[in-house]
Amino acid sequence: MLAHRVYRLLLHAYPADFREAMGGDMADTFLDRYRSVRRSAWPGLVTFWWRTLWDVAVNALLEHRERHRTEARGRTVSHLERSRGVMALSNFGQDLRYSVRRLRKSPGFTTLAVTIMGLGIGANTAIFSIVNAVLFRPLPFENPSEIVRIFTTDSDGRTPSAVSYPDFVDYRDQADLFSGAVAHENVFLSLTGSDGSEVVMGEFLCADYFSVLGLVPAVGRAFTSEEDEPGASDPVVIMAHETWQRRYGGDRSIVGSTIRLNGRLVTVVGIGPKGYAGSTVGITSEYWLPWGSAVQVEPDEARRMESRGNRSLMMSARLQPGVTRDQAEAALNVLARRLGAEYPETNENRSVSVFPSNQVRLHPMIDSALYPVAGLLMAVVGLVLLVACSNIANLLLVRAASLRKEVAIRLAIGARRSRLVSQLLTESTLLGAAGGVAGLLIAVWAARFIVSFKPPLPIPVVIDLSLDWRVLGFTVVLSVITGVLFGLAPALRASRPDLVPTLKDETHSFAVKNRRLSMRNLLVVSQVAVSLVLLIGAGLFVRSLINSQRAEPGFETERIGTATFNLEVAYRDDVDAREFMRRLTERLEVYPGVEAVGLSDRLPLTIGAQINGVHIEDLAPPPGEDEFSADFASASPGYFRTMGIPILRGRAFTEADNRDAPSVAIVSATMARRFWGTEDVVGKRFGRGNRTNQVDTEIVGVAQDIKVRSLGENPRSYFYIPTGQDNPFIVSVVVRSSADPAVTANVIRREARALDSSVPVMESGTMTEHVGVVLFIPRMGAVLLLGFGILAMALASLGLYGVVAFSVTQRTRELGVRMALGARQSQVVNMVVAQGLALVSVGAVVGLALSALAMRPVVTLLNDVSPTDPITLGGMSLLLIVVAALASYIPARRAARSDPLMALRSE
Amino acid sequence: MCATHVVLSMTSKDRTPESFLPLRPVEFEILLVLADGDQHGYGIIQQTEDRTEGKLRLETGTLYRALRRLSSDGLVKPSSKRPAPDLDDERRRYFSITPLGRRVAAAEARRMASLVDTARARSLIGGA
Repeated sequence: MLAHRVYRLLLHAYPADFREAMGGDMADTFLDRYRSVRRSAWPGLVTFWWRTLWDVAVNALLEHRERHRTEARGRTVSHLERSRGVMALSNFGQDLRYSVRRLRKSPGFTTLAVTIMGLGIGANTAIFSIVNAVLFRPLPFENPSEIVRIFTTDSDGRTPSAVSYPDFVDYRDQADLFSGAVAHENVFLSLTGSDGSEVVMGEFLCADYFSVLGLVPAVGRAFTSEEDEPGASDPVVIMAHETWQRRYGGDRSIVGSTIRLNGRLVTVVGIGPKGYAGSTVGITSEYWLPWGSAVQVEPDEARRMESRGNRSLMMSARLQPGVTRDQAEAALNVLARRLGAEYPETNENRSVSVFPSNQVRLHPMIDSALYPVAGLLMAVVGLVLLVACSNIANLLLVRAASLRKEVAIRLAIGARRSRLVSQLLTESTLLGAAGGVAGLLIAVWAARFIVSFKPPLPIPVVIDLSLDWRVLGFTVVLSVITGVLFGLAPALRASRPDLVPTLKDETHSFAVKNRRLSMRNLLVVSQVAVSLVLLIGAGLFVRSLINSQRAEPGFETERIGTATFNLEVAYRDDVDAREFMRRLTERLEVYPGVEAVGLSDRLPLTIGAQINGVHIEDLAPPPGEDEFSADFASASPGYFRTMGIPILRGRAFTEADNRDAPSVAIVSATMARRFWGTEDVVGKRFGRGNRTNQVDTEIVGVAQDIKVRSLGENPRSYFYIPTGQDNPFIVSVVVRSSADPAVTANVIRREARALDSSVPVMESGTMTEHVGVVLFIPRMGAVLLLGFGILAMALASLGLYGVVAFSVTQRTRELGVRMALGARQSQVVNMVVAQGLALVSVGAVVGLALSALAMRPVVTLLNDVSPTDPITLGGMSLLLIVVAALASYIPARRAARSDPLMALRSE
Repeated sequence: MCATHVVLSMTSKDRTPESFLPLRPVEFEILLVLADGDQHGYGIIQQTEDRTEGKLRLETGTLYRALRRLSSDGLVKPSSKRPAPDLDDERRRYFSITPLGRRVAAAEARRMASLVDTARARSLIGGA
């Protein structure tokens, strides 16, 4: 079995005599342990291998050291064992001291090598620490292996989704399966302070949530079981630790006092554990309320809790000892089938999926997208590291070549080749370790920098990047592996020079030199190729980004300020909400400088999509699709004028389009053309909604197309309904004025606060900022790729510089001969640069070919740029060649300026 | 070579049990397990884990280095390979404790007991 063979290989780290005596038994025991671990999930396997590697490393080292100590203490050990053991250890110490000395004697090389390694390892560790924080780091529960997440699977049988409260209660009561089961719901809450209201994230959850999961409040207490009952006590809340520090400065007196959530006074009874911010990775919850308090703060919640079809809870449970995940899932599905028979409208065809808690990060659906993205990122930085390694391998090859005389002498007087190899390997591992330390420092900074690009969402996204043992372990393993990787080939090469010509001090024959050069050449070519691929990718993304930024959105962006309000948490009654919006609009319209005011429930280019079904008489949807659909939003009468969206036919909305009037809509030009061709659509009708629940709507106007979901999209079907005919939950106000739009946004907020300070603002700013949000991902992609591309290019250039510089030093004598025989300085320089450029050109061609392949799957992400865009390809190739030429030129000039006589006299 | 080996075996036979104390904790654990009967490597690991309820998990390298030391000191004796009952057809090498090993384990246990008595006398821990 492969694992067994790998372990036997690892055993070679131990002293030979130990291996002979115990190796077989150790391999047997390893096999037994491996078999018992083999069938568990992959995190368990990774831990197992990690422990095994660590065990071998530490104990092999100790065993070597023991040999040394044994000799020192004078205990009687067999003669053979003693000499071999002592030799091995003193060799290791000797190698180490020797390597340190040699590295110190060539500071230029050492600094270069450590910098290169640091950059390569640093990039990898930075990405890994982010991946670790999102995907691997377990939540701080007690005994997390016992905790599972429970999802209802949708009627299509595949999509895991949330559970409803009545279902949760039925699942929880399976006492033989669970020692405890809890559920929580992520909610928006309105927190009112002295300077107005803001929207914060919170969770409604079971009172025993903390105790079942093993979380202990840092201050104060957890909830009591009475607080689960609606109305049994006054509302209470537990605050997150980070919120406590940030908003209240860690003042303990906040426990026991009250805060105002959703307009109600709530007593703070405790502070959550340090480092815990909710059970959903990436979403930070600040306030936790038990069900009894939840229904007092959010009256709709009581109704939602009674509805079996309202699925919004995330359920977790702790398995009883001896109960497996499979057993729990099977038992729950028996129950689910019974519920499906009892409550067919809500539970028919619903089944249950149970996942171990460490396998679900955000949600099983999203997770399956996270892993490939993480893999892709790690692959990109892995490529960068490969470039770095081949760089250093090259440097080491060149440097080892300069040792050939010394090596030849040592081999001639009988040194074992393996000794030489291990000495050179020690040096490269030392470099790797130093690079690892440098890399760790770089990674800490780089990871913080990357994560600081916060996506401008209303939800606070916090990624905890503190170094844990996984990241450190990753760095150590990576450093050692790269040290061995880039050191092995040069070490093997160096210990095999041709003895006779070297000892005779002859310049190597042409054939020999070519053979040795070809490996170095291959390394340089591959570095150049990889760098070019990364650079081209970066260039394409940057061009795509520029295209996106220049695209016309179809509406005014310059002088518009906006603010979005969450009316649902502030007002129970639609009438009150509409009244608030009417009065706010009135006040803004008369404000000095304001030209137009509009309302909508969803601004264009908001992340996500809002879609409705569209049903047209005598028009059947294409085969395979259930119904037509289109994006839509609500709009007030003033909206079109404010946003500068021209009405092409018919009319805009008026105040008369309210709840008492017939349903109307304005469609986009593309939607009109798509469903009615060249006919005039004003007056035509369509049904909006799902098939069984349509609202008959008359078209009263056609608006010009705008960009709805992204700036790079093709024109899509889009329609507007009057705000007067829509339910006011979330409303965005847009105001065009002659003033600075940032000031306008402030004015909107101020006027709203003056009217009613309990209405929270979800987001606010200029329209330009809002449109910029949708550019976040392409911008991030471009920045990351550009950063890594430049890094790879810098590494490749450094490598090229190093190779050329050292090879020129090698050829000092040859160049001296040439110049003594009459070659001009410029000819020597040209020769060296030309040889360097020849390599780079080959690398560039390979890189261009590779990029054509590599960019093809990325086409969908690019906006209006072809993956073989000649400008990008040509530009990046040119950049690379120029930089490479420079990297070759500098050492070439230095060589050419040296005195030919000195060159001839050097060995 | 022969002379060295003779010196080696004479040396270990002359040693008193007390001269081996204090034992390394790993070594004592191993002797405890083997005092109950012969066992193979994986079995020692499993029994120790069971006895300490998962708190002490011996790694392979640590275990076998300790076994080597115990062997060369004459406290433990490797025996021939026998089929292990929990594995199908595979033969594992068993280890057994020597009489000297038993005496050393007993001496260590007595040493620990006297320490515990002293701790009790100084009210560090309670109990009879």
